[in-house]
Amino acid sequence: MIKVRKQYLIIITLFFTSSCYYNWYKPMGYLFTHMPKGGTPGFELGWRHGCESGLGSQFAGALYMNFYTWRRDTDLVVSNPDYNKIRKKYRKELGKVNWNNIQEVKKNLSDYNSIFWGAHAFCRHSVLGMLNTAEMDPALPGDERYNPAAHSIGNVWKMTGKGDTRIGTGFW
Amino acid sequence: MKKKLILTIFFLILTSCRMVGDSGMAMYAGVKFKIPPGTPAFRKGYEDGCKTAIYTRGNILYRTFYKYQFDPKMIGNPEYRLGHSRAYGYCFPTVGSAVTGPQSSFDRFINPYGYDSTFNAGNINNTWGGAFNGTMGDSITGNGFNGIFDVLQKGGSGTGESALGGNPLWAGGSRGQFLGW
Repeated sequence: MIKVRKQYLIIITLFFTSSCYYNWYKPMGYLFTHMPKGGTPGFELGWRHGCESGLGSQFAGALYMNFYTWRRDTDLVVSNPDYNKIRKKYRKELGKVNWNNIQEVKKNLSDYNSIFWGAHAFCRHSVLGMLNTAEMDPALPGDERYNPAAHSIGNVWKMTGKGDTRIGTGFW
Repeated sequence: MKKKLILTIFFLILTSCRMVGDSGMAMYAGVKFKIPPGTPAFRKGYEDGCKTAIYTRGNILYRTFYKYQFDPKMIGNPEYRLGHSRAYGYCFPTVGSAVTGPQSSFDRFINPYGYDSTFNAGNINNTWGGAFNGTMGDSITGNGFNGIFDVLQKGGSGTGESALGGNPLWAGGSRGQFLGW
């Protein structure tokens, strides 16, 4: 009996760990699963940095700002980048880049730059849209940072808040 | 005969269900969003950008159908990027404006930014703290919005005679007509 339980435990753990993705433990971490596949390492790094920066903005509120922050790396976007520094800094993320091929390196940095703001907007708007759906608006200066009593977790499944795109609402 | 009719209707319905790539046609049947004419790269970017925007502003239901879309292989194509950003910029506010607020009735277009059910025409004189009959006019002579024009009508003191002889905003009333006529 104990043996069976152990097997179950292993299977469940396997299921849990196999579904892990980048930032899976953070709020709205599932947004990172939206990152398109097939991009260069620079593209992927730019997308992740952009998304994290978007989620760490005031639009998401104080809770999210505890988990995410501004990530745009100036080392990667300056006009005269220090390639050695970048290579050491992102040994894992940019590990597949052929650093002997300057064109490839430049392409990766360009991709980083190009996708950053798109991913930033996507994640910032997504979290704002989800909060708005739950009838939560970003706090303005002077507002209390977060009032749990004013909200319900179930609000995110509301059909009538912002984001109501059903037929008859003007969307169609 | 009946069968043919049903088949025809069914065919018509089915043909409008497919993804339409022709310019000016809806992205999906019935949807307002249309892909404008342009090169294939631009239109692909436009489609991807719009779907991305719908995800960000759509509710939980729409988030099951849409997702972030950007083809990394096209990142070097300026037309694709232009289409993507233009569509995102267009579709985002379009979705947002139609979905704001709790109203979900068919006449929603009248109040695209939501409708305050507690408000009615009778409140116009004392709404927003008395914009038309209170605070706005209090600084001059009182009596609301009308009071602003008292300066023109009655002078700075609010008691003298007017340069115009009447309320410049509307005709009628006890003190004359439009611009004094």
